[in-house]
Amino acid sequence: MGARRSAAGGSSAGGWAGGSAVTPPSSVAEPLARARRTVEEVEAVASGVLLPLAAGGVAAAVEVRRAARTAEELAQEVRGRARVLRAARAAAWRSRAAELYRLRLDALAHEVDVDAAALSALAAALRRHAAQVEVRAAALQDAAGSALALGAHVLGRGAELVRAGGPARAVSAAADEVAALAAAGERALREVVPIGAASSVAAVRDGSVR
Amino acid sequence: MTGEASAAPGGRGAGALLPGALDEVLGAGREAGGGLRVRGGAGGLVVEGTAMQDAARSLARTGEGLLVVTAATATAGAAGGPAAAVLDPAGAAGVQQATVVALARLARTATGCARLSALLTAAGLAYAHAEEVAARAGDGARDAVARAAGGAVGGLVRSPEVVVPGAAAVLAAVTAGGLVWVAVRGGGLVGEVGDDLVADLADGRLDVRERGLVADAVRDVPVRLEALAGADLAAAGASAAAGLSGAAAQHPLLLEALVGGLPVGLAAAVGVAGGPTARRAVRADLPGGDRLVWPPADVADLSAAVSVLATQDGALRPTRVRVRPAGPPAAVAPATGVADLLARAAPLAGGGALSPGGRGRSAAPVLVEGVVDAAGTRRWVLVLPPTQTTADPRSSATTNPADLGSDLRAVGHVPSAASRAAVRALEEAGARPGDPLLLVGYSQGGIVAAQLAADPHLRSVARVDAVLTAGAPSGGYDVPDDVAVLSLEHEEDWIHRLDGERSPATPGRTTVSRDLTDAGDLTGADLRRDGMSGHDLSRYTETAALVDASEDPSLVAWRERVAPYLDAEGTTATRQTFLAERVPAG
Repeated sequence: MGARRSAAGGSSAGGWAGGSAVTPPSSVAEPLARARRTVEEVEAVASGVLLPLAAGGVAAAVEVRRAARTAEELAQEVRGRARVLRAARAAAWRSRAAELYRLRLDALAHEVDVDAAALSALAAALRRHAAQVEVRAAALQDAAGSALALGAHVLGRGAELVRAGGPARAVSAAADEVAALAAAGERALREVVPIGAASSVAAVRDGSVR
Repeated sequence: MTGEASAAPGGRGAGALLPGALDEVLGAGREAGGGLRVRGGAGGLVVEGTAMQDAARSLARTGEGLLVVTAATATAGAAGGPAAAVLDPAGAAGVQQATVVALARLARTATGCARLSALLTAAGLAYAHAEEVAARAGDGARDAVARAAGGAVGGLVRSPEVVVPGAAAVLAAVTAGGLVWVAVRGGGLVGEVGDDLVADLADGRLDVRERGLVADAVRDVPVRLEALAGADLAAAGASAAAGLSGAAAQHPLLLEALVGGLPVGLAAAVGVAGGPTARRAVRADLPGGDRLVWPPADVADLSAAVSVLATQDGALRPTRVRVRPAGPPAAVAPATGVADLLARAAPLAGGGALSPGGRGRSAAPVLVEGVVDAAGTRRWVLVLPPTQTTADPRSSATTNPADLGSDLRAVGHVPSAASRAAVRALEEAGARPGDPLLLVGYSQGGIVAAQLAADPHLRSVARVDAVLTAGAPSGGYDVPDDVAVLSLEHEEDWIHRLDGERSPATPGRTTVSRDLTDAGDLTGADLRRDGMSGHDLSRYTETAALVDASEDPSLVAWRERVAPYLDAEGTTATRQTFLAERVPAG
């Protein structure tokens, strides 16, 4: 995450300021600076929030899937225990007291079966949860990747214009276009961030989510 | 016995008085179709109590397991943490809801398992408790009978009508189940406590006061038994003079009542200051397997003590046994069921051509069948003879090991020429250690079968798998739990009561009772004419056929246990008859 961000930042610094001896004309300086700020913000969100969240989601999905398997195994174990209980009702029981206990064992075995069903329901809920987490983690990864690629593209385009020494108006227009693209990318990213993203951004930043 | 006494609740229909579950423990047993009543075995009450406790343990494990599952579920429900919740808040909420539902359910069920486990444990213990109550009542009742019967028995044993030539035979007959009297009479009284007690105990519904009432009711049993014993003894005194066996068959309580006070009576008769109050106790192992315990604690001790003086094969008259094949092994059809197995004892019964009844100088036949199943596994069926001669058991002229002496020794739990001959025949037939073995015996054959099943030495010859007895006083033998014993007993047959021990209603011991009078097979006139009618092998074979047809779980389980010994596709059998006779030792 940090490496990605450094790489992105390095790209903008090297491609835009340090990589070229050409100083942008003052008429384009302001749009380019705005575009650069926007790109930097996009990169910050992608690298600092979306990618960590996606990585955490992938790990969590693995954990949830494992829990789902465990829950299903528990359900199977509990079903086995119900079978054991039913087997414990000796067929030869004849006395009145024994008949009473046979009925109670029957009822209890039924309850244990229902317990097993509850565990299976939990397993299903966990599987659904894991699938959703996986989908959203993948979406975040895609969005973050796209944002970082877009940022690199925008900054590269601006650097090219400056390096080519194009007319100031053309450079300025291109810079506006680049800024618009970057802003659109940011909006798109924020739309990708699910409900709770605001707090999750804060959580990522303060380290409570890994 | 008077007509009034015959109609007393302790009569041969005593089992009918016992309701439900306690009937299993104390009475003649549960109904099993065809007029049969069954106690013990795989479908018995003790098994039921054991199964309850097994179920209780299973429930406890389930409850503990569910608690572990609960903890694991809580962990699973928290999976993903804030990261997953941020990305899929709705999904996280769904998981949380499902987790709460599962946790609440699991906790409730785990608690239910623990509660039911505790109740089932109590229920299993309650059945055991019911048996303990019966045992305590039996102990008290036994003392009461001894007090009431002691003097009367002393008089009877000394009376000229009873002390006849062959006194040992009379003693053996008198050793006829005083404890069973307690079981029958006492069972009727204790049974009044009822099945509801068991159910209430099982459910934990009895409070302290109610338990006290139950205890009071049980404490009253010996007092009431004492009164019953007095009435029965009066009837017994009148009947004994008319003929012991006939009276015994007419009044099943006769011999049992006599034996209740036998230790005191015997001591009085022989002028020995013995009995339960003897100051000097003797306990000794003697040569020849004899043992001497005085004063005797039970009928087995008494029979063992009498055996020392009154039989061969022991310390005073040691013998050897010679066993020879009567012919080569011959192919036979494997037995088809319980009745067919028991029918194999028919050629050995009643003296037969091989050994006429009453003649002591003869040999006893022993049948050994080798059964090979389709897989090539060999099993053995050993059919043991009933009493073949009533000759003087002390005389060296009595060479037939199936004599009254072997009866007495078997009831006394000491080895005899008959038991040694059976083992020798099995060895001669080719049995090897570990070979599965089914023992079949009618009357004396049944006692010896139980004796062999309980004898650890036989395991060096074969592995006893199952035992079938008919009309045999074999209840006192402590047969290992892994041996399936099926005992057939007719209510009118007093022979099977001779050891004074009731077959325990354990998982390994299944006892089938049949009332021939109820079935219309016998009348009071029949019994008066012939006191041995209830002991007839052909009637036991009919009873065995009813066992074959019964769906009682204990009987079904026993039949399944012996199925490998019976006729099946690819199974073959060979039979060899051996003749056994005593020869002087040395």
